[in-house]
Amino acid sequence: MYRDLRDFLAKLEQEGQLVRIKDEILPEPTIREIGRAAVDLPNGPAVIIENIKGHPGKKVALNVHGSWANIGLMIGMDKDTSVKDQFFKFLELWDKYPGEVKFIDKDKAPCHEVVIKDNINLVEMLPMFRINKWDAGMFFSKASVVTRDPDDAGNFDTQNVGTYRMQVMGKDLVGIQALGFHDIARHITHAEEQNKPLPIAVCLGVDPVLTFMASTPINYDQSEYKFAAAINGIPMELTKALTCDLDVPAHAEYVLEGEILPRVRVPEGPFGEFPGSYSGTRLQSQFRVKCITHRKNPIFENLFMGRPWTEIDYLMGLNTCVPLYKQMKETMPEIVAVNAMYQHGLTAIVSTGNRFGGYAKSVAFRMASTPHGISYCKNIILVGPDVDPFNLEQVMWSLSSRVRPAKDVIVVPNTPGMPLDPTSEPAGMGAKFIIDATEPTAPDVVLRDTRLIDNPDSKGFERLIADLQKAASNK
Amino acid sequence: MKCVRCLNDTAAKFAEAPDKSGAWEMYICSKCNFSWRNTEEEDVITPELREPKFQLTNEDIANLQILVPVPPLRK
Ligand SMILES: [Zn+2]
Repeated sequence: MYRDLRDFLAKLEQEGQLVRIKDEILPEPTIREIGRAAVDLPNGPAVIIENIKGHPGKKVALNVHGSWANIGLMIGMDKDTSVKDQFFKFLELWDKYPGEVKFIDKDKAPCHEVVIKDNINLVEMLPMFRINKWDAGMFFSKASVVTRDPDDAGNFDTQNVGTYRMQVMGKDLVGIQALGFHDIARHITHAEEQNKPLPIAVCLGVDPVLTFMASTPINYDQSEYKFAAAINGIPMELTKALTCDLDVPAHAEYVLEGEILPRVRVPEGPFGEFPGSYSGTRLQSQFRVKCITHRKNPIFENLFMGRPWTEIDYLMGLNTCVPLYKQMKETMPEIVAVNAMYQHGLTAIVSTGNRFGGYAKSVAFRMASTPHGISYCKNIILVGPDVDPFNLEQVMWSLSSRVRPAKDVIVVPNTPGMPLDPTSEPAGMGAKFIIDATEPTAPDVVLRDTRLIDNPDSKGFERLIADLQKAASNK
Repeated sequence: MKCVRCLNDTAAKFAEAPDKSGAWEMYICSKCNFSWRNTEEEDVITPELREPKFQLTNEDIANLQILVPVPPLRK
């Protein structure tokens, strides 16, 4: 659908989902104020900031994924498509994996239009900004980071594209947060066991679906590039990096090429993180940038992340739901839909049938044993197949009318946890909280005989009344 | 110069506005990696005004948690 970020920005602009700020601003605190404002608006638009003091001619793009309207447009739907319909569209696109990958010559790739190898200075070359007030520095929060497993260097599919936060620590030095369960941590460990530097390519401003896939928890041996191509419906165009054997998106706005320094850990953080609080300062890995390439008139895309909801919640919403759904559905066909949009799945709602009494609780255990669910899925709510898990009013109805607290609420203590969850103590430990709000089935004791009210067939009138309302408001 | 976070004399200028307008300068501490711009809010770049929770002592720095340990070298 969109070959690169520019194609998507053009579509957003055409749909009234992109605005430009042309007044001269200082990076701090103004950029974070703009990021917060854009995402707080209903159907918040992307924003391009065009006049940053000290950085003439450079642009920052914020909130590109920051509303359901923008996500809907990204997958070729109308901007007013419901979240549930977007979820089912993603399921359909997901099955098109693997998509096609095409290579463009290094010297013809737009991302190599400008090459800088000498006197690198990241914060002079890129219009970086402190995202949240108490962050330890200027962070990259929306990069697609490419690495290969040094023990499996020729394998395209285990080449990883992921999003990791990265803190500028000097003219050409950057800290990177690799958590134990991240694919990149495996690559770093394999390189460090041999005391070898690990080549890394940081791609900024890529097509919106690749950004989306880079923060999607897929299997270790699945290729983010082939997934992006499948969902985008067009081949993913890659090119070779200039200083190492990594494949990078040929139309990226910027690519930073470098090496992760082996066996080095340096102070990193704090950083305002996705649960809406600051992470602490910890010892993390570091890399040195050896080469910066960029397109002419590059756009620096970054992400403002604040107290939820902000852009990251839209970006990681459906891409957390879909893999969980796919993995669970393989062995539990009764599952209807998964809403794991809350803080990357720390809270998740599953709509499922009850094959027999107590079955929904097994669905919760299945969720808690998926690769992502092991550490992330903490609060798991089960609702019946008649409840839309994306409709929180329906979910609350089901909690109100179907939960028997003594039988349907379970806490499993001392399980793995997500270190960035402020309740994870010590960091990395957690618990599972399960609420079964499905209707009990035999041999469980069924609820008092209740007759639910049937919904009338209202779809036709929904469309009609919506059109009438639109016409009325245009008068 | 003095780092606004760890207060050691380990900070230095590492960047300035690329248009040479003097619009801003940036500094970084080589001990705790904190960086800042001279045009930021006063309570971010003035040690006495910063929230104490976000300051680091040398003892804090010496005892930072390591999230992914350095593995043993292969034989
Ligand atoms: Zn310091």
